Amino acid sequence: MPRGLTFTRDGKVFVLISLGVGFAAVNTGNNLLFLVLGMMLGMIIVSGILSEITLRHVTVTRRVPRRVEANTIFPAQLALRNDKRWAASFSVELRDEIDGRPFRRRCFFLKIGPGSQRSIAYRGELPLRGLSHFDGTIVSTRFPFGLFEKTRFIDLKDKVIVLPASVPVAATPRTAMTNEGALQVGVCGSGQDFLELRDMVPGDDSRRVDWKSTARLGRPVVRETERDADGFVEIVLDASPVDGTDEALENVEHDISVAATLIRQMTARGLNVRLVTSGSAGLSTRGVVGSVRLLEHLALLDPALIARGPAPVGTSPKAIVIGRRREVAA
Amino acid sequence: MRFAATQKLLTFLMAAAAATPMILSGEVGLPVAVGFGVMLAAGWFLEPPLVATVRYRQALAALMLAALLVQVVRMVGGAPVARAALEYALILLGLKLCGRNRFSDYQQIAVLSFMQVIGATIATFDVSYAVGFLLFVVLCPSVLALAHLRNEMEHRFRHEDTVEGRVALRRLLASRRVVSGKFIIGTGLLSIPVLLVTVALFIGFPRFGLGFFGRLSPTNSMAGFTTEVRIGDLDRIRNEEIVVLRFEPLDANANRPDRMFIRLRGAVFDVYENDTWKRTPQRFWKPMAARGTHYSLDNRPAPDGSPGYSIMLESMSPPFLFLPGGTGLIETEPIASVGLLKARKLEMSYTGVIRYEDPSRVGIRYRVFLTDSALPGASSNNPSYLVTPPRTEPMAELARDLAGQGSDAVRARRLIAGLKRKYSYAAVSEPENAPAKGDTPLDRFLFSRGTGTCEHFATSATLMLRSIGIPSRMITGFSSADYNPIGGFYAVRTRSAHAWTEAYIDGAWTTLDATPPSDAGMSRAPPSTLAMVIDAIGMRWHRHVIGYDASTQVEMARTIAAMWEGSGSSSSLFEYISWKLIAPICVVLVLAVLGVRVLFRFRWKRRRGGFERRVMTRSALKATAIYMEFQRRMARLGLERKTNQTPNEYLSSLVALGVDIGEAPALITRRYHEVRFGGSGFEEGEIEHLKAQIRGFHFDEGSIGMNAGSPK
Repeated sequence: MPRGLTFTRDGKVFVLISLGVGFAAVNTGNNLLFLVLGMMLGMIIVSGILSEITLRHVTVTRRVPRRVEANTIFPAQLALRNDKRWAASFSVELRDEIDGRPFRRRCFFLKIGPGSQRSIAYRGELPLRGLSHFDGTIVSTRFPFGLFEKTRFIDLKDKVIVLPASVPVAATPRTAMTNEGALQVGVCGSGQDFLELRDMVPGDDSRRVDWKSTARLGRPVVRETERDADGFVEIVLDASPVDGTDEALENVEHDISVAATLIRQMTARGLNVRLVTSGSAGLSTRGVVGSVRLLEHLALLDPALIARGPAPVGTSPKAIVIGRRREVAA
Repeated sequence: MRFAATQKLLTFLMAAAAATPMILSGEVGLPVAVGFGVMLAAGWFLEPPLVATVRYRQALAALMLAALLVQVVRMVGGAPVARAALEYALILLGLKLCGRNRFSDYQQIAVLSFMQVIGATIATFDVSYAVGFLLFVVLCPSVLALAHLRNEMEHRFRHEDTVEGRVALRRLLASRRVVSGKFIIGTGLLSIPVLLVTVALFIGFPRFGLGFFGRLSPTNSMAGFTTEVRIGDLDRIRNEEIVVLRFEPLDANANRPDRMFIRLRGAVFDVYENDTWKRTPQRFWKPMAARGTHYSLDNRPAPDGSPGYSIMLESMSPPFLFLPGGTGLIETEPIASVGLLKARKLEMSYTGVIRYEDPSRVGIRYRVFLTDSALPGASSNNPSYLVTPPRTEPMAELARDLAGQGSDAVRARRLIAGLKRKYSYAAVSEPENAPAKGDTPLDRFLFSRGTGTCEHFATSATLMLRSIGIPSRMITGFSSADYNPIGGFYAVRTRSAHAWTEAYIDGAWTTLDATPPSDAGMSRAPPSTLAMVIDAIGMRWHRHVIGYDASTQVEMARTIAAMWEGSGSSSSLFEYISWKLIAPICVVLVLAVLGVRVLFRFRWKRRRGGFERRVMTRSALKATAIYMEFQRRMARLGLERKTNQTPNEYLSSLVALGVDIGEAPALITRRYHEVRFGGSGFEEGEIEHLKAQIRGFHFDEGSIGMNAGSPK
């Protein structure tokens, strides 16, 4: 496991004083100063050994959600187990490394007794949509004297899908809904449109008996109706940037966030949503749970790839078109 | 152990250990030393919330500022800068001890304590430093570790920002769970590797001796050996028990007398004016010719097997060598200067006094070889050797009466004998109630009181010899030494300071001592065993630590190289080891460790057992022990009992976890309840059976369960 050692401010002062005492000892030949110098160097060595012992034989476990929303706080938990038989670990700090950078939140354990485990939950927040990689955890300690900070990197991988953030978007009017009302789907259901007559079988609801036909045929007949299909909202997103500038990319990210926000709003209202992006034939979903699939799709969109492809084509003239290339089929 | 209480105790101990050598060095004034003691005692009782109030902290800051102003004024008034700075650091330490509130206060106490340790290196070379340093090293890791933990607590809980943080911090500081006896012992044991590194660096680091700056504090002058000596000066140092030098005879005689009478010649005085002995301005210091590290006084090589002494002289001012009579050859060790070893510079005055170069002010080690050489300073041409002060006719008449007629040698012998016969020795020079006639101390001694100290006798003899035409001079030095069987050396203390006369008779200087034998100085009780142990430690400290230098390093390297090649004698490496000295230290250390262990065990038992310990039956104690063993075993298997769980709840939690625990835990829990609280006892062999069950618990690989294994 890779180790690191950095000086704290106190440590730098301590080392400077050690050098000063060393110079004074060499210069004056005062043996008592040599004793003091030896003590200071001994403290430095002992500090290194003890911090190494503190970080040895410790195990870290992490619990994070599989999906999180960008710029939204999510809970994460880090647990530290001290597997040493005799020695406690003091003053240990855990810090996740996400996408190659240490996360700003730190978890601190004052003492973990031998053979025991402590866990701390922290509030995470990831700013960018996409797939975030938890590379590992940085375990560090300044124990025993606070002169140096010793770190150890524990390889502990996790993946989190960061869904696009919600942004302020005006409520979508019902008029945006395609084929509002009913659709003929040819499947039995609880709709209003007549589908067929059939013989009544045990278990059929008696309220569905078609009395006229029953009277005419002389046997109980029930009326089957076609299942109603709700209308759906089609969102056509062109996530290709104008150019490679930061502003263009920011605009694309904003468009993706708008799309995600709309998906969340509509699915929350119980509407079906159909998402069309470049390179995808259109993903439909129903309900909040199903919207996750669309959001994950948005989270993993790569604008660079999309720019090389054709503009997305919606199927409905009422489709909500988001993005640069606003081409919608008639 | 509560965190706050533990930190307070160890911090106070460390501060006291660091400040004690400084205080004992005498470099800080008595008011400051007493003030520090008061602050140390008061600081123990001053606690938050009082010390956290704004007014209190402002008052402390004002006191610090006032102390700074006082020291600055003193410095402007001529007080040594180093002393003023050291005193101020001590005052700051005391004030900080009275204002402990946060981590930063404890950190500053640690820094100020460390400054005391640094300051003491230039203030004292005494063995008290060794004790203080050792205690500091033992306590320092614990104190620093606790300070670091406190820093983390305060930093993490942001105790200044939120009420919750303050409450949490208060709970932690009062908690017994953060640090325990094991923590203190463990961090205390860190001092062992620290000391090992210290010793390794101390031994191995080459002594360059660049010498850009010298010692800040000059060595104290010793009365009786400075440029002027008044009659009575030696009384001042004779009342003290300071060891001035130590020596070991070079012969291998195993039987050493407890007290050796040896005249060690130090300073020489030739001018007597206004009741004061002085030296003619020392413009005649001449460097002594060195042959390697040897200096010959009579230009003769010392024959093999010449008797002699190995002498270790403490640093004193002026830096004169003390030599026994008959010294013909002096051997010193080289000193390091700007990275090179060079012979130490010795200079001799026309009076035969030898002074040495002492850049580091740590004293000198030298060996003298006795070759029956004449006393140094052979010239008798100095006219001051015959000068007597004015208005001393009665004394001259007395001298002529005592000396009579004859050769110089005969007259001198008669004069000395007459003084010894006619006058008696007194422990002090001028008793308050003694009748006194005459203007001068000599008149009062010779013609009124009839009793005096060695200075009276030596001065009288010198001046009387001069009055009858015999060149003479007064010598101050030491006359006896006490044997220290523990250290294997003779210690010369200030109480044996002595004065005598040298007269130039028949072409050579002769030692004449007019002081009559007396029990006054010699009847003092010999040093106690404890004093001898301390002195022996002090001697080792001075020889092996203070006096450790480049030449010793070279010698050690040669010895090790010789041993490596198989031609060396291992005894040379271990000649420094004195088991007589080490054995008592080991015994004391072992007893201390055992004492600490017993103390901790007693406290632990008292805390765990509480008052119930007294009413618990033997079986109940055993049941408790078995249950605790069960708990420990389960904890090692990752199934620790929570502190808020009763044994039954714990058992239920094991079952709820789906752990395949068999019947043993239920049996152990039930029997614990029955015996511990139900008054029943164990059947024969039951305890062993339960213990075997506990030992049999183990993880079943691949599953979360645990099986009760077969008894082993």
